[in-house]
Amino acid sequence: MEQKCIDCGKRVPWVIFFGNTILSAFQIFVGLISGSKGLVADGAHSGADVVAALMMMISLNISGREDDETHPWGHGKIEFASALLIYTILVVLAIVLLIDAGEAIISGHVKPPHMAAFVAGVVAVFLNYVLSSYGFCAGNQLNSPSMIANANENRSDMLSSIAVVLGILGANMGFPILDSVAAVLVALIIFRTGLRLWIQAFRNLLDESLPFEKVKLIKDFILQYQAVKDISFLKTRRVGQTVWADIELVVSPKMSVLEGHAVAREVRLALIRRFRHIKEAVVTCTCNENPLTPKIVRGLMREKLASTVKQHAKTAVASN
Amino acid sequence: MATEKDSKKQQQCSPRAGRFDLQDTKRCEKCSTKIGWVSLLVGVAGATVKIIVGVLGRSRALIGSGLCNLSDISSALAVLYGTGLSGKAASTRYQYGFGKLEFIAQVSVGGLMILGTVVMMMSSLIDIGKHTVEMPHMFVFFVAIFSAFANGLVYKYSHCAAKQLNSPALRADAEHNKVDVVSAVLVAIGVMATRAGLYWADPLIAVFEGVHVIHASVVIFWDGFKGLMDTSVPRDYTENIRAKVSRLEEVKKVSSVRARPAGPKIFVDLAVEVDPGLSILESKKLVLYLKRLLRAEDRHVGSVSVQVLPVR
Repeated sequence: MEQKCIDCGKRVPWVIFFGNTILSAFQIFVGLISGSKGLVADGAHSGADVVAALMMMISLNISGREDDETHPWGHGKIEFASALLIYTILVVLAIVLLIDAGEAIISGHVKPPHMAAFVAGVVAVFLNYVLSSYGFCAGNQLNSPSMIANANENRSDMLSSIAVVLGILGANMGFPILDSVAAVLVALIIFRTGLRLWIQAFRNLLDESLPFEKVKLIKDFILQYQAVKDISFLKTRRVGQTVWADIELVVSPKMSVLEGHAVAREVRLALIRRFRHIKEAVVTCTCNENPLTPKIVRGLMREKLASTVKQHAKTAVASN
Repeated sequence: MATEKDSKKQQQCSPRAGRFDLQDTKRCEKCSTKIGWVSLLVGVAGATVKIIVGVLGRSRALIGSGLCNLSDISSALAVLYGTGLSGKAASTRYQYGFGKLEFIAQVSVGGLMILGTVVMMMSSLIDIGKHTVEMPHMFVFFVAIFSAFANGLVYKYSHCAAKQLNSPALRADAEHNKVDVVSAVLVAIGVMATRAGLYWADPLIAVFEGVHVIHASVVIFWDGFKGLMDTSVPRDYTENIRAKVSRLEEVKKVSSVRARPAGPKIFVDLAVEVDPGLSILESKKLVLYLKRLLRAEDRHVGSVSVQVLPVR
């Protein structure tokens, strides 16, 4: 890629980011002064996007750090944890806007907003159009899916801004309720997006496994190895953009630990090479035969009992 | 006499004693569920009464204190929900179990409480600035004193139980109740001061309470956030496991010990080095033994994964 394009790729997200910040502040300010609930809700919508984008930029930065002593599983989970926080707040914000606008509709205490709100709404539609076109163009040129996704976000903002403009116009043409109706609509959009993304973060934080088909794909890949008789478990979980896996292979009980380790190592390296999302895989070997004869189990029980009795004696001594 | 009593109390409440003795786990879980319910009831009753009395009696501080109770309700719900579901076995979709639900509840509730309190504090400050403070009713005072006692009792029990059970949600709940006691006492003082002529006392107490609530919320939030980030448990804990495991004859070297909390459980990842000639059957025996050993040592240990490597 040309140097010009790389510079441009770095600049575009910032231009869009600042564009959205100014737009959101402008919408909320004019909305509050002119008394248009729809415009305020729309400003909150763009503002939420800005905050989410900012948090994502920060957490992506931290997420890329290598694992250290306090975070032996890496820092990838921060992406989901910060998303959980942002979208919790966003959902509550949507509910507050919804209650505010709903109350106005039910009580009937609605006044048509000042026409300044209309002008601001038109400016918002125009700015959203410019920002999304800019994003689409740059995203296609640079082949960046995240930039295109961002531009899509701006495009949907534009649609909600159009609804708000129509609401303000309708309110001034004799239907004062329409501004609040537009606000309800925008709040519902925020609620839906917030809830969807919240659930997504929630699932990833609960260490949800990959979809069944992907797991099947990985299993089939591993079972190609002759030494692997079966897979006793295959656990996967997402850590940021990457996937971490815990796998236990079933091999012959007579195999030595050295040989078993060689198989496990090969499987691990092949998995990381084959599936580019898998960052780390802990592969261990086991066998189907049960090594614990009743005699050994009895021995273990005795040892456990002895250790607890010892502990009891210790605490008794300490308390005296 | 006093020292004997102290040491007995310490034994009852110390996490170490709880960790190693052969306690009836079922009884403990039942007890935590009970505390969850009691805390929930006190929270619901406290929040309803305080907010209604606060609005009718025109005391912003009491409303703030009621908001604080409201957050208790959510954290008490988290305890009930957490103890019910963390115990639920791992499913094919959630292969690591549901222990992290507690952390998720903490982050959501903590974040919202911080936000809500900031809003409450700002409106109180505006009230002081505009001199729009109204005189609170004397009834507010009695409600505040009564709720301080109720929350004090709940705090005492939930604090002890949290240590015994090692449950982060229960700990958060105890923390809340402590804040509630202080806030209720402050409300009582504020009401008296406002009635004595200091018009700014009531909203000022509301702001102070806000600081309290924010502090408590940040602690809850940060606890949950660290858990969600898979932050390692304290170094002592892993060092203890390392020492225990390396004492075994078959284990030549312990190459790594990682442990992360998932709600009340702790997941342990071990990597040990053994004689390369050992058969897989023998190594399975070692793995099973290690799992039993760690679980016998600490009943909070959840899943244990052991990697057996040939010694280099």
